[in-house]
Amino acid sequence: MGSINRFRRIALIASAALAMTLCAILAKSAPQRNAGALLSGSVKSDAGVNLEGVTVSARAAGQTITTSVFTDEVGFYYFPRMGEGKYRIWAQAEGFEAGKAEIDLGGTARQQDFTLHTIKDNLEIVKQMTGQEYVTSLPEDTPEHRKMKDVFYNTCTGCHEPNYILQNRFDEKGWEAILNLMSRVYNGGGEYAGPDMAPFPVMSYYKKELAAYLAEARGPGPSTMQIKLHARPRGEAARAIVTEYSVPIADPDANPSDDGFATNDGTFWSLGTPSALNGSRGLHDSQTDRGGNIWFTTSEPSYTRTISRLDTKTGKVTDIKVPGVNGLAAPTHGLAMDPNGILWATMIGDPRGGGGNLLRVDPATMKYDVIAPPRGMAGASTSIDVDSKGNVWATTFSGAFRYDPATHGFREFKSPTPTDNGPGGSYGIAADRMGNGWWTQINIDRVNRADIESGKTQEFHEPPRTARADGAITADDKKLYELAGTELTDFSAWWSEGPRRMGADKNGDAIWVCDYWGGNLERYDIRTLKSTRYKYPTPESAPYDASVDRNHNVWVNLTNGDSVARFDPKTEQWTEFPLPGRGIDLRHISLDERDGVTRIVVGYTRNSKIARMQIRSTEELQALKAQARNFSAQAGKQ
Amino acid sequence: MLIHRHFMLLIALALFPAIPIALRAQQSSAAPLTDTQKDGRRIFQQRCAVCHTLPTVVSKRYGPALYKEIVEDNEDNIRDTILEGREGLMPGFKYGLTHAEIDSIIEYLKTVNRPTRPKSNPNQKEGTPASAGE
Repeated sequence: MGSINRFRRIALIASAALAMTLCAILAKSAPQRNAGALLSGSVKSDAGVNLEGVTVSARAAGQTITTSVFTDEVGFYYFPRMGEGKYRIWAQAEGFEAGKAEIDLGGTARQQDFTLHTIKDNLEIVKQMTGQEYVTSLPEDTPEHRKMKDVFYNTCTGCHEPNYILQNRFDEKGWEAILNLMSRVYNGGGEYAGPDMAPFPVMSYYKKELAAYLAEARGPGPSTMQIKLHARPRGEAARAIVTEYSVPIADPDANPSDDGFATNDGTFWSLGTPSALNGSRGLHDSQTDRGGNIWFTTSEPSYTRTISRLDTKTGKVTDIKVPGVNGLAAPTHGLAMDPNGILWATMIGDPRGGGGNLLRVDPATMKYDVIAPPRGMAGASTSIDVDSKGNVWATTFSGAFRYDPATHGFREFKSPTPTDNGPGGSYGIAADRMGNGWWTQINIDRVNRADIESGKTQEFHEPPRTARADGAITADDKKLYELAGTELTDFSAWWSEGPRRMGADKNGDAIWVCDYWGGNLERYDIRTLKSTRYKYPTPESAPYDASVDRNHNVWVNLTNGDSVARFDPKTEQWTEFPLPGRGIDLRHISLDERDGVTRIVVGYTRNSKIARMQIRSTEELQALKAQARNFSAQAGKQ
Repeated sequence: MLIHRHFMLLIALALFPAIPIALRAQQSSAAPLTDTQKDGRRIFQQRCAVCHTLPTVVSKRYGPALYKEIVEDNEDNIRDTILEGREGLMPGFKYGLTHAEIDSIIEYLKTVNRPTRPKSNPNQKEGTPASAGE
């Protein structure tokens, strides 16, 4: 008996030792077995200077997923280990020609260095610029220049980024022709209304002056622009890793391309700012589901796409079409996920095609429900949010409503300052952690709050901002802009802050509002109702939407900057993270924090792409650097 | 806010029976494009499409549709129009596009079929409702 027990003990110990040994072997070998190959390298200028903050991108042949990293303080980049195969790699920095390479990534590691050639011609450099850089570079040396810069910024950059316009060079008559067209194009949707429509007054009133200003800056002669490039990312921003997913255009039959994707998707900066036309516009809000796939809405009319799922492992996109009018898919706009993992979207467009309804989608089954507000209640319009109890809040043209999925009950809330359903309608929305709803009216500078207990609404009127043109504005100028908020105006007034979209701190006591024109992030304390304004340090960046992470940091998409930024409320410090594309027109930002890591998800609304960004730790990057050094050392011995 | 106008346009167009017009506008011929033609297509889409194609599948077009029958044997006129523009209607691109870029646009347009009206919705597939809705 004793010998049997001793034998069992020995067998047990031997088994444990064997298991531990096997585990150790497996643990040691596992990373090598599954981790793929390391790609790294240096980026220098043709003058031999190490370049920090260069965007280096890689895409496997035949794939739709692009990974981008940034060079560090000594000009080196490090990709995470990637699968073996053929890759296209490119390195970009403003003021330099892109470096490009095609490699066969195999074995354990590969080094690919780039030397970037300096561009000496400003006409070539400007093609690479963001909208923010273009506007900042426009002249404001005289009162008249400041006035026209305000007119341009307020009137022409609400729907598309400034670089889409300013990549062109026309003489005065040419710019007038452009303004003739644009004065009959509807805000937002971008549709030409036809020659019989009365032109929008602001664009008509300033046409001659604005055309002259633009022709001086972007015309036949020497430019009045003083080019001011944004600093390249460094430090934490240079540790970001961005995964971009190319999304096929919605109606490829109607939009010519080779492969069903946009012909210029903003990947290569020197090609200039892409057009949003030819099917590349439409992708709007995006949201990660519990399984890690990303869903997105489509706001433009199409025949195929109401809401779609992007498989983040394969890049495959699956569309769900909800029937709209005349064979079209019902378009959608806002998107949010409730505590049960159910997705909610606002449906827009013709009410007979579902416009004004809520769309409920179960990501697990991909089945949907269309939920209509009661007759007589204003329908959903733009944005959506879900409170901690699962109530769905949506903007309407006259305010907002709350839908309770448990009871199927709707409650409507009207904005205290009514509008004519025109440009002053509700835009962004957020539900605070106390269950109250907040929404903005962008063109009349109002932030509204619905108290869920009393059912009452109250408004906060943002104070006017200072115009560049203060001192040069005439009584007639002011009179014209007092039309702001009506059907007649083009976009914003001189003094408009433009509260656009917003985000709630679901674990804190704050609502954060993005002032698009004013360039601020505004904090509303949900208990005291006091507000505090934080200026974004780079002007003309156009903060659009906000999302708050689990550490109370506020993430903002900068539409004109082609970037996202993080605001730390504790330190009141901003950090900007440039994204790899140009003209990407970010209109929404969401977070994926399923596993404790904060990932930022944005849709490129003009370029038919979705990007997911996360920040690598210094330890993670150090480990990659050590591996790359070992590889270099071994390669040097051979 | 911005959606309102969009919505009104959709309403107006919904009342008009022939919405799915010219869906196949700017569709190229079947033959693969040359590199020059691809460059031309990209530049056309970036600089010219705002007026010469439909902004969306339900929108009006500002300028005329351009296709091979208009361009073939008329290259000099087309080139001149791109360079000089048309008073009050179209800007001249002589300061912003090179001659090679303009030539590539012309070469691309020579591959484009005349816009046609599709007989039916080209992509008639729909999702699955969980129920008849509420």
